[in-house]
Amino acid sequence: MKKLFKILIIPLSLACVLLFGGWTTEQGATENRYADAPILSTYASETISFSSRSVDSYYTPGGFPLFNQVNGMTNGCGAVAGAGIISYYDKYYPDLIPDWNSYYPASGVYRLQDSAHIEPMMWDLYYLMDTNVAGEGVSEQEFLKGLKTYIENRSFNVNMQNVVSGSNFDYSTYKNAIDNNKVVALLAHAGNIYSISENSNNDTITTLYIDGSHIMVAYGYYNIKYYDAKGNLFRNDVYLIVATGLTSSKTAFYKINPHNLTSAYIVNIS
Amino acid sequence: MKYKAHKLIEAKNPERKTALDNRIKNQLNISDETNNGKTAVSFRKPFYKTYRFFAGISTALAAVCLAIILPVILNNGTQTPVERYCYANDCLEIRIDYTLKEYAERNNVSYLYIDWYDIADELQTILYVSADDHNDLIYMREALVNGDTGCNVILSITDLYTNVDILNSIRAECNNINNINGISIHWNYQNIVSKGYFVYGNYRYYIELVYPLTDDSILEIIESMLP
Repeated sequence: MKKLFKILIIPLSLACVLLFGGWTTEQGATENRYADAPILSTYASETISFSSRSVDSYYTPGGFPLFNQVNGMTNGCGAVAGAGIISYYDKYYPDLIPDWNSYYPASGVYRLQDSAHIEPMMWDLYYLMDTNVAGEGVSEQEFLKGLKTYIENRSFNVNMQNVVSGSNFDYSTYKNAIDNNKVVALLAHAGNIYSISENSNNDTITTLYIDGSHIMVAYGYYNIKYYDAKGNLFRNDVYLIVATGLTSSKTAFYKINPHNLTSAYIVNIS
Repeated sequence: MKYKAHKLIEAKNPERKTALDNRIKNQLNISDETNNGKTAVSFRKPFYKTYRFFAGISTALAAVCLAIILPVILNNGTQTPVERYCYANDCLEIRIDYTLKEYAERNNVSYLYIDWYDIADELQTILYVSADDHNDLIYMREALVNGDTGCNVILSITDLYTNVDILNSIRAECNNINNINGISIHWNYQNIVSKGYFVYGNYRYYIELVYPLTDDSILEIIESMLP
């Protein structure tokens, strides 16, 4: 018996190690990371002709700060999204960015990316999120942790509510958040964004492809229904209005039916 | 002894010798030449060794050199630009603290610009140059914000031979065409950003108007730029 045990112990141990190692490797391999992502343009173009259409659209007052990563930064989409979120909420919580007004009071429109206040803040977030440390860009946890740390260091509280569960997107909860001037951080796989050129009896949808996992911020919705001459609904597209964080196509539409998101976090600061 | 015998033989029958000599010369086409009082027979030089040959070669070489040098001189040493495709991410960003209008004046280039300088609350003018050659301007950009109205416009400019990935995406999206003062304006309207581009002179201009007030606000801005 002892002999049998001795014979079997080594292969059994080896099998355990291989199984365990394979499991952990598999876990590590599925963790998505979000980084620089070029836009490939003119992926497709589509014209939708209609007799009538109805649009339910809204975006947060003044829009959203349209930033892009600082020259010299790499894979900084997490920091750019975070800087946009901080700058957005600075309108409602002025001490988020000390000694700086992120918007114009007369119009509510957000200021351009400022080298004295916004870019240093973006670099702070870049390091708080451990960008490019464990891998390229940031993971979901690194992004959330870095953003949370920055906000809490300014003596505010933050709560993140995810409206994505698998293939489901809780549009009702999202819409309610936007209507109450909250913004939503989108963690997206590679996929499409859209440009919608509107005309009197046709819309032209240009599809642009973001070639990599990327973090953006949604600050509005655009729910459009198309009707034919008989008044029948023949198409309904639901988009989020997003700040891409990229140098080109700074703001665009992101379709959620269907979506290609890992998560979408409503950012609640108090 | 041999020389004397040779002379004796030659002295015999001199007429026959002369006739034979003349016949040989005629066959060989040889003419008698006088060289310091002595009769000399010389062969005609091959053509490739003649003066005319070398003169011809020299003339041909001179013509080839002129054909190469003259176009360069006439063009003041400039070369026809070659079309190129550039990536914005590969460019180095240089912010300047003066306007696009001033940049054009300093560098003697005839750029169009958006004359909001008296009303803009915020202005950023940025040169995007090649990382390998900072004198090689890929494109430049000027962003202006009118804080009172909330108008936020971005103007980008390239020469006609330079395509930039982020600006090409604007061209892909602009599917309306209007004619303003003889210039074809390509544009679109979206409720979040309107875009447009056109060519004037030696440059291509790209405009993005964020949160436009009306569907043709961008056309008004472009019209204000044109002379």
